[in-house]
Amino acid sequence: MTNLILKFQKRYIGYMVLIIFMINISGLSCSQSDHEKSQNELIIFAASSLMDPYTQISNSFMKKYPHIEVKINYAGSQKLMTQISHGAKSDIYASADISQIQTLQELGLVHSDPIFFASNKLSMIVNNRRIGEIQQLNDLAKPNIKIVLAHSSVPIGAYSQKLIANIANTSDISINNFENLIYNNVVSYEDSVKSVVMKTVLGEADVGIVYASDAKLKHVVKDTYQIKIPETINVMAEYFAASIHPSSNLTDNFLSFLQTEPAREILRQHGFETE
Amino acid sequence: MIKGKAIQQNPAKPSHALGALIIIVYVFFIGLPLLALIIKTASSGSLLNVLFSSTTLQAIKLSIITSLISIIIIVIIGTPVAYIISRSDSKILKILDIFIELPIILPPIVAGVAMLMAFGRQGILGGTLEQLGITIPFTTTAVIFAQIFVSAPFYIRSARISFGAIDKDLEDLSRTLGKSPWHTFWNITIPLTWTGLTTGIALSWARSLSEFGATLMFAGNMIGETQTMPLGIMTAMETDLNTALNLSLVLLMISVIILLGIHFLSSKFSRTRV
Repeated sequence: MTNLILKFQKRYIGYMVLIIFMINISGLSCSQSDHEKSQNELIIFAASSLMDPYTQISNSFMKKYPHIEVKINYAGSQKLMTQISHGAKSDIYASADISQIQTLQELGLVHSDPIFFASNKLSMIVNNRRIGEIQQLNDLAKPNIKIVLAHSSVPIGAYSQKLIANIANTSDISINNFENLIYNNVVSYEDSVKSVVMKTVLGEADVGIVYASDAKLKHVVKDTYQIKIPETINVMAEYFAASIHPSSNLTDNFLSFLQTEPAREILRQHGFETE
Repeated sequence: MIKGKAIQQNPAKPSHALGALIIIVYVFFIGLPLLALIIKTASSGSLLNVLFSSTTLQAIKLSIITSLISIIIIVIIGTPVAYIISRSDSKILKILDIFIELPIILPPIVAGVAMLMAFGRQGILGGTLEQLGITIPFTTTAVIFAQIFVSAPFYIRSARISFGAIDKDLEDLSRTLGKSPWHTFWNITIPLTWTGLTTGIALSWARSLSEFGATLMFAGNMIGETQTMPLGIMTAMETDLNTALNLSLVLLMISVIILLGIHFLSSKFSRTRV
């Protein structure tokens, strides 16, 4: 009998030891990897419109600093801001609008002054199916046109609203009416510019307002065409990057790299402007 | 005898302690986030203001209307499907029975992409539909399509199991007494399977209400038209945390009500059985 009890107690102790052991291991492995990460890993949170140039820029950055691994999280600028403000680990934040960085500054999460590194015009892309029907900005108010915009919380969404207001100002139809007609044609407010691109390229929507850099992408050019937006009414998105607390040499290196000619050249190749 | 008992009890004791520890850890893990949701919403102090804002109300209204339409369609189509499968020996139906549950396992985002490829304007069927003047993506219909796609299997599964569990002799008896199949189904089969069916409805309804991935992909995000509560939460997370908290709390409360409803139904059922 006592043997039996002992046996069970042993097993019980075994379980406890196992659990304590596991907790220790997980604790150790966490702190260890965190330490390593902070030394040679650079985490960048970048607006989705930066996807292509940033992938390339990070590659050339890693060539220059071979011991560093750059990891990039792409999403709508606003979503990234929410993630950072809720404690997501990020070293650098690149937003399509300075206002998100300012919000983070107010929260005391930004380490450096934001640096301007690129600007991007807006483009109106139309799925090829509607060639001939939608040729100019005024056509956006026609009935039976499906427009997809980004939500106004995302920079491109706010820029799109400005652009629509500008278009309405120059249109022959009364301003309010024209804006209403356009907004009546909006079928969805997406959470990032890439969703707008995807739905317009797929033809689920007829028209999407995106960045000039998106409109230049190969798969976008293939299935869509652009409506010309006069320079005078177009809206310019300005991209800023800042380092998030706590900052390190790594983040400074990347921010300086962003302003070098090779990086600017990559941005220009992808339809951004760097002046 | 007494010694024997002691042996049986003692080994149980340590595992009791361990069991309690594991349960506490688990309850803490699940309970803390839910409790945090309630505390944070309450401390935001904006409960009613936000809840009765137009955007929130529209999301709640849209969610309830679309999920009710979905569940009605699911019951109308799912009941005969479940009944026929449960009463048939056909091999094809046996295979169908396995695959009918696929949407439960399938990631909702895959369901959304698949629906876009089928019913989208450039989709296999969507192109033809559009020529007939019917467009599905970005409409409330798309929301309902997505909900039915992902949540119908929960009802059909529950209904099929219930139909399979009842004594077939009772149905046969009713038929030999000269009652029509329809009469038998309504007066024998349905009352006997009522608990299983209503549980299935509750589960399916809950899944419809929580549908997010397929809706976002296939129906888009438009206030009053396709922005259901989960999509409203997503949008609000990026603009106004309070709205997101309040909508989350509403969904949490609905979930609790559905859960208690299911529990009530099944305990009532087991009482009547006893």
